[in-house]
Formats: sequence, C-alpha cells, structure tokens
Amino acid sequence: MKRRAFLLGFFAIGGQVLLLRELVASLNGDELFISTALFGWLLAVALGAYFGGKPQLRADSARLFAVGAVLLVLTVIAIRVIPMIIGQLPGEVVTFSTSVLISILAMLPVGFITGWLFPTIAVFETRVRASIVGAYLFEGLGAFVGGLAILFVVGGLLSALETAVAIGAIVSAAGFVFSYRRWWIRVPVLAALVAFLWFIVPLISIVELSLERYRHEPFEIKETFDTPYGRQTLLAREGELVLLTDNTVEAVSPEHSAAENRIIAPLVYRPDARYVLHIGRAEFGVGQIVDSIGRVEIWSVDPRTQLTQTVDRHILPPFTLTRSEGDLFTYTAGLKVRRHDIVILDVGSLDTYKSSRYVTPYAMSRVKSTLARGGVLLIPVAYDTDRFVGPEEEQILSTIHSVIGDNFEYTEIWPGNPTLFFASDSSLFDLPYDTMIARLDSLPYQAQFISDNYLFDRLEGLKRERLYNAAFQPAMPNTVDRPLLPHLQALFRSKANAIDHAVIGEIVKRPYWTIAVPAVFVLFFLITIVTRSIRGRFALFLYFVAGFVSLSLELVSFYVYQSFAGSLYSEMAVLIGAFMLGLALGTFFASRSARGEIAHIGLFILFVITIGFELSYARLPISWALYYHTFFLLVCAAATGILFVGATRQFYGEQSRENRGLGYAYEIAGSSLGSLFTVTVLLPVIGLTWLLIGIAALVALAYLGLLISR
Amino acid sequence: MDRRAFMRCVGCTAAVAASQNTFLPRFLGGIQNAMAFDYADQLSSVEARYYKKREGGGVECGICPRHCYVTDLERGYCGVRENRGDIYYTLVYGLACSLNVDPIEKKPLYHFLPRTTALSMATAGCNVNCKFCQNWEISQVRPEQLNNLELPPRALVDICRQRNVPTIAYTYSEPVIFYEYMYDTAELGHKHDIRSVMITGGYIEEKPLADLLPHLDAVKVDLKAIREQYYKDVVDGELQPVLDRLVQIKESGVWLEIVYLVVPTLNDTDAEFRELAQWIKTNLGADTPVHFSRFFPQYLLKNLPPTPENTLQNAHDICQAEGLEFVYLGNLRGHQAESTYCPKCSKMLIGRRGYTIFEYNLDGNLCKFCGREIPGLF
Repeated sequence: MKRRAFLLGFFAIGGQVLLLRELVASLNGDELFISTALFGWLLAVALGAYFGGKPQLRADSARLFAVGAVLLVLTVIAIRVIPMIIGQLPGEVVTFSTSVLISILAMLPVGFITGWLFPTIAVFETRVRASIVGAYLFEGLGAFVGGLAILFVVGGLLSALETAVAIGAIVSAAGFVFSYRRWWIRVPVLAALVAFLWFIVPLISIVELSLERYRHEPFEIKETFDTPYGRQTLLAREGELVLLTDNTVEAVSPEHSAAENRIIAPLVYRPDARYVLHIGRAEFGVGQIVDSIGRVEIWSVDPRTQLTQTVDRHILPPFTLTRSEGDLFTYTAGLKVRRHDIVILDVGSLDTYKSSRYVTPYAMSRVKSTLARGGVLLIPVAYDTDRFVGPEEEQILSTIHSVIGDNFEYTEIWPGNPTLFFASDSSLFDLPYDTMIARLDSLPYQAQFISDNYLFDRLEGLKRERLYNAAFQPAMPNTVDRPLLPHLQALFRSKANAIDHAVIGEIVKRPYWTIAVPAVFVLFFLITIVTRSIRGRFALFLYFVAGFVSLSLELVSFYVYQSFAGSLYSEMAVLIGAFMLGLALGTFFASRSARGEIAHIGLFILFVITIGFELSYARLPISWALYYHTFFLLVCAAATGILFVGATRQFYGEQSRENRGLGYAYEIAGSSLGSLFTVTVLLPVIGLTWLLIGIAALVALAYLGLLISR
Repeated sequence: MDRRAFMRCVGCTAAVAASQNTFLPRFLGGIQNAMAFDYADQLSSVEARYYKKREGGGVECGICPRHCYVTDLERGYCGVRENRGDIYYTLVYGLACSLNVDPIEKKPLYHFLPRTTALSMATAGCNVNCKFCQNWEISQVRPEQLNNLELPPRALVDICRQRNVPTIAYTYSEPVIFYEYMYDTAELGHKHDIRSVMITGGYIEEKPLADLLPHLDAVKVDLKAIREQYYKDVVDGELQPVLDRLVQIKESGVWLEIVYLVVPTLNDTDAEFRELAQWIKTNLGADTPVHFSRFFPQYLLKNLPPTPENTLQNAHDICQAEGLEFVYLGNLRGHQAESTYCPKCSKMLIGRRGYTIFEYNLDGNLCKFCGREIPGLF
C-alpha cells in the first residue's frame, strides 16, 4: 500500500501541474480561469475518491495507473489541439465560459482516476484507520517528491509533453511492478521502462514540434520550449519575429510604435535622462532606440534567463542594455540599487495577480526607491482610449490612477493605445505642446509615432478631457490587501461574450452572493451536529474544513509571497515542497500519537498560525520572505495532517465498513471550494484581512463543533 | 439525519435561495433582454426605417442584407433596433457614445478635403462581428452598456459650426445601424454647408444606400477581404453585398475610398492582393484610392501578431503593378506610400507623415507640375 500511495501522490501532483500548465498556455488563463481549472481538478478527484470507495466499483490499481497514464498524455495533446478543433482562428482567444467548460472536461478523466486510486490503494491495508492515514501520508510524500521533480524537470530537462509521457511510463510500469512480485515479470518491465525513457521520450520532441507547427502554421517556428514559468515560442514570418508566452503575443520585432511609446514618451519629460530601468524585456525595440540615442544606459529586469539566451540568437542585443534576472521586487531589494531617471513598468494585461501586483502602493514604494530625484515613472497599459472610454475601462483607469496618484505628487495620462500613465514627485508634466515637440526634435532618434505627426491628434483637448474625467474619478486603489484589477480586467474582457458578461458581471458587480460560502459552512456545521445519531458525521465537516483551510492558506501564501517578494519561480519548489513535507510529517506524527482525539490540536495550530500570518505578513523584510512562508506552509500543512488523522479516527471505526474514500473526498471537496473562492473571488471582495479572519473563524467554528460533538 | 436527508435539505435550501436571488431567473430568462430591462429608459424610441411587418407577428428589418426577423421585445443582430408591439425602433437616435475631432487623414480619407478635420461620432452596435475589431467595446455591446451623450442631429451640426469643423464623419462602429440618425444629421448638415462622410463596412441594402447617398459627400468602405469564406469565418457577414454597394457608390458619383485591413495568415496572400486589385480596377476604376492598413491584436484575435511591414509593402507593390494609381499604406514609419503622387509625372502631390501634411502641390484638383486632374475633393 505504501509504495502505491507514494506513486499516487507522484502521479497526482504531476498530472495536476502539467494539465494546469497546458490549460493556461492553450486557453490564456486569467486569475478566474486558473482557479476554476484547479477547482475542476479537485472536484474530479473528490468524485473519483467517493465513487472509488464503493465496493462495487473496486478496481485493480495497476490497471488504473495504466489508464490514468495514457489519459494524461492524451489529455495534454488534446488540450493543445482543442483551439483548432473548436474552430478557433489562429490567434483567436477562447472565451472565459468556453475555457471553463473545456478545463473541467479536461481535468475530469485524469482527476477522477486519481481520486479513484486513493480508496483502491487504501484497501490494501485491512485496518481501516491505518489504511486511510497511511495512504494519505505516503501520498503526501509522493506528492512532495513529484512536485520537486516536476518543477526542476519541466523546462529544465524535458518539455511538458515529454514529462507527461515519462510520468505516464514510470507510473504504469511501477503500478505493474507493485502488483506482480515475480522477478521474471518485474525485470523485463523495468528494463522496458528504462529503454522507453532513454530512447522513446526524446522522440516526443518531434511530435511536439509537429503539433506546434500545426498550431502556428504558416509561421515558422524558430524556437519553442517550456520553462518553469510557461511556454515560450519564437515565431518568424515576413521579416517579423514574434515572442509568444503561453501562446499570447508578448513582443514583436520590429515594432516601433510599442517601443517608442515606452522610451520616447517619458523622454519628453526627461530629455536629459541618462539611466533607464525597464521592468520587462527591452530587446524588442526599446533597447535599440536607446542605442541610437547614445547617451542613455538602460537596465532591464526579467526572470527568464533561458529566454534571454534564446532571444540573443535571433536579435542582436542592444549594446547599452544591461539585463538582470528577477523582477521589480527582487531588483529593488538589492543592497546597492542604482537610481534611475526613468522607470518603465511593463505591467502586461493586469488579468492575474502576477501582473496586477505591480500596480499597488507597495510596488509604487519599490519604484520610488529606485527613482532618482526628478525621475519619471511610466506605466503603459493596453487600453485604447483614443476614441472612447467605456464604463469598465473607466473603473480600471481610475483604479490605476488612484494607486499612482496616492503615491506620487504629480501624474499625467496620455490617451491612445497604449494609454500612458506618468508619475513623478517633481513638476514635469505641465509642458506646452510646442515644447514637447521641440524636445522630441532634439533627440538623435527621429520618432515617427511619438512625434508631431501623431501627437497633435493623440493629445487633442476632447480626448484628454474625456480621459481625465474617467481616470480622475475617485476609486478604491488596487492593494495587496484587496487586489481589484484582475476582476475589473475580467469584467472588461467579458464584454466580448454575452455569457461571459453575465457570469463575470454577477461575480464582480454583485458580490453579495458570496455570502453563500460561509452559509454553506454554517449549514454543513449545523447539519452534522444537530442530532446525536449523526455525531460521527461531524468528522466529515472536519475533513471539509481541513481541505478548505489548507488550500486557502497555501494559495494566500503564494499570493502574498508574489506580491511582496517577487515572482514565484524556483521558489515555488521550496514552498510546495514545504507544504507536502509538512503534510506528511503532521500525518506521520499524529498517526503515531497514542492520544485518541487529536483533531483539536490541528485546529488550534491552524487558528494560531492564521492569526499570526495576518499580524505579520506585511511587516517582514523581503529577505526573510522565503523562510517565513516556508515555515508557515510547513506548520499549516502539518496541522492539516493532524486534523486529517483526527477526523479519520473520529469517522472510521477500526472495523468500519464506511467508504474509505469518503473522508478523503470531503477533504478534496473542501480544497476545491477553497481553490474556487478564497483567493480568486473573496480576496478582492472582502480583502485579505477579513479573508484570514474568516478562515480563522471557520477553524474556531470547527473547534466549537468538536467540543459539542464529543 | 442520514446522508440522503442531508442532501435533500441542502438542495431545498439552495433552491429557495436561488429563487430569491435575482441572478438565476435573469440568467435563465434571457441574458440580453434581462440586461436591457434595467436601462430601457435611457434609450431612444424613434421609429426605424426600412422594415416591414410580417403576417402573424414580428417585423423584418430591411436596412442590411441580414434581414433580421425580430419578434416582440427582441432586437436585431445589431442590438440597437428593437421591436415593440410590431413597431421597430432605433434605440440610438441622438445617442452618441463617442465624439472626437479627428484629422480627415485618420479616417483615412486622403482625397477629401486634406488638412481639415472631421467631427467623428458613433453609436453602439454593429451588423457584423469582425474578430479583429478595434472598436469592439462600442460595436459589440448594447447601448445601455455605455455612457451615451444625448446629441440630436442639430447638436452635432452646431458643434461643427462652433468649432469650424467642415465635416461630420459617421464612423468607429457601423453607421448603417444608426442609419436614421446619420441620415437626418447629414441632411441637416448639408443645409448648413457641413459635409458628411460615412466610414462603413458597406453591409447595407441597396435602397437605403440609394436614399442616403445624395446626403453624403464621401464614403470610405472597409473591404475586409476579397474572399467570401473570410467574411463568413472572420466577419460573420457576406462579401457580395459589399461588392455590389461599392459599385453602387461609385456609380452615384459620391467620392469613394477603400481600406483593406491586412490580417496576417487570414487575408494576406499575393493572390488575394492581386484579385483585389483586379476587381477594383475592373469595377471601380484604377483611380479609386486603396489603403492597406496594419492589423494590431484586438478583441478576439488578441494572440495574432501585428501585420509585418513586408506584407504591407508586398500588397502595395502588387496593387501598383496591377495598375491601381493610388495605393496607400498606413501605420508605417515614414513610408513613402503615405503620400500621394501624380500618376502621370510621379511627382509628390501631397506629402504626408502620419496625420500631418508637410508638402502640398495641388492646384485645386490639378497637379501643379503636369496639370493632370487628380480625383477627389480638394
């Protein structure tokens, strides 16, 4: 049982991570989509665990592993070709509602098998409690190893599809080997596995390249590879080089308009600038313009070192460009931070917390720490405000301006596409038009788009007035505590589809329905303790709470880390590893404990650590962040493990005939609710403080119920 | 309580909660109409033109080749014309969602009153759904989803007179769907020496266009492609009616210019450019200006890269080789194809960079160098 459970954890984490990556890459996931995709996976696992625990559906674990392995590979391939199958044009986005449906359907087969395996494996141990706890423990260990392996392998050694095939082969072979003890079966199987991994897996890259060529036809694929951060592709056609990140156009070369908007526009206000910081990639035009100006040096900051090496093979690196690995937060946390005259903050689409964290008061404070006296911040945002400003855009623009305006003394906004936000603590922006043109004419670089040829129209009075009226409206700022921008951006994009607009409109504009979330918990709580005859059922509430709270706190930790300390890349391995390790340790020590009831210990720890997190997360030096969050997740997961063991002891008697997947199913169902609601929906609505208080209250409620149900 | 009872209890509670919640009934009741009921009192109620009542109820709109059959309290495809008791109304008469003063070169119109401006206006709605639409935020939404300005025709004309703007441009979304508003404004404008230009996809029926043309001074048509399949897959429209309307406009004598938005991989082959040039030369004349403009990721084609500059240059060269006299390229840095050259002596007549004119060598309609007549309104 132990080896099979370990294998299950390894397979489950691999399947979850790979499928989520593929869905985000193929369907252009924003924050709402990522949470629903994860919800789809967890729901499928919960359903599989429930149905798999029914005696009439008992299956052979080796066969389930084999089926799951094949389904994993097929699903990864299917996700890549889905946009073409459903008739999407090249470059066409998939709407949110369609994406959600696809993601739930895509996660269902592998997720269901994964859930089904849990009770299938648990029955190998006859003692009921020990079987469930043991399976949980070793599944956690397997997930720990698998999570670390995935994070280092994908993008480092193998592509996503190669990894899926490798995992599938390993899991199928291992499942088979565990089921058949005879050496003359095991040895050939292991030999075949080694041969497969050595000879066949590398050939998968040919299949992958063919898929990519089919997907991007008639573009020529120059480079395509997976990185820990996503899929990068360099395409070429008709003399144009295009960088795709997760199949979204990130940059194009040559593309003078985009580059001039980023570097020429701020030079209007600081024509004497010497040092420029670009948070983003500067090889696609910005750096080249800086080269031609001559007296300016530029630094760019981006975490994707592998991409830098790839781009350099196709675009001559600008000679005035110095590239640093990292992001705004890691760069400005350095001991010796150069002061820059211009800071360009390429925020991207603002549809995820990863991008919207750059438009917070905290981010502004980091920018100011690297801005020289009289320096200018530029934030280009991809909203076209040349001809009109819609109501949803108004909200977004005023939210952005509210953050910038609260942190800088002077601001300016240019209409157009992109819309440009300028900020400074010096009075730089009150310039007559003629002066602006004179400054542009004096630059060694003759701009076409940021020039009198277009600017007179772009900065025309009616347009500026309309934009000012929109952006200067009072608005709540986007903060780490309440990240509003991804929701607002989702609402804006949802206008493209009536169903999306109805669904997302209700989520964003009428959030009072989120009262259903605590209502579900209270109702569940009441039902499970209302009569003595169902006292044992209270343990199901504990399972549910364990899943909900643990995943919610895990996602909160990732979110907070990313918002304060920098992008989650290699750090993700440490944090996920800590969580899985904590889960295994908590389960292990709780299972060894002679105490009959231990659930209250787990609840107590969860309560304390949640409140402690709320009181401390914003007060730490950035250099401590990784240790802090590692410790937090380790303790949180350990408490979850203890709670799981406590709930198991309460729900299952030693000779219980209960469905062995039921408790696990409830735990995963709680996790699925956590993935769907907490960080994605509740966080922007009630804020991080109230979210953590709510989680602590839920834990306290569970503790109360435990006392009542004794 | 056993599990089944628990689930029954939860299910009943959820059902009761849902029935009280406004979201579920509205969602089931029809997404679009549910939203319309909230804002109906902000919209106009002017009877539409070119529709007929059907026996057995409902109306058939005749403004564009869709010929939407619309039942009571429903709207046509464009989302701005509604049937109420078998009277068809335009909901956007006098309600502009966008108003700007643009250089005429921005439309783009290069042979019509250069160096002047146009009061550019639009309402919500459109009768097609181009996946690359740069104005999708107003064209693919309902008027109640926008902040609309109450600007009846008289107000538009007055703005032009106050600001010395010689032209009104009906643009951005699709003026066919606010036909009545456009018609009345154009008619009134002419009485005050204000000209009118329509920037359109050309998806309109023959009769409405014939009635409108006497009140227009120029039309710029977005010819999306020369292939029917493209219109079907990318535009959700039809090609042939647009081609027919181009001929109709040319024959009417109203000034015509054409824009072809080059979308990478979808309508950018040499064969298509050649076919386009040949069709224009044969049916409209070699002196019809054609603008090739560059696609940028928008709306539903957000993940398609912008049009390569080489592709635009290619389109330009092919069309010139086929004999078209005035072929322009937009959104390209300092390209010579932004300027107008005399077809006879090849001298620069109007030198353009972006929206500015740096050189002007026309004497009325005549080339200053060789005297050749240049088509257009100068």
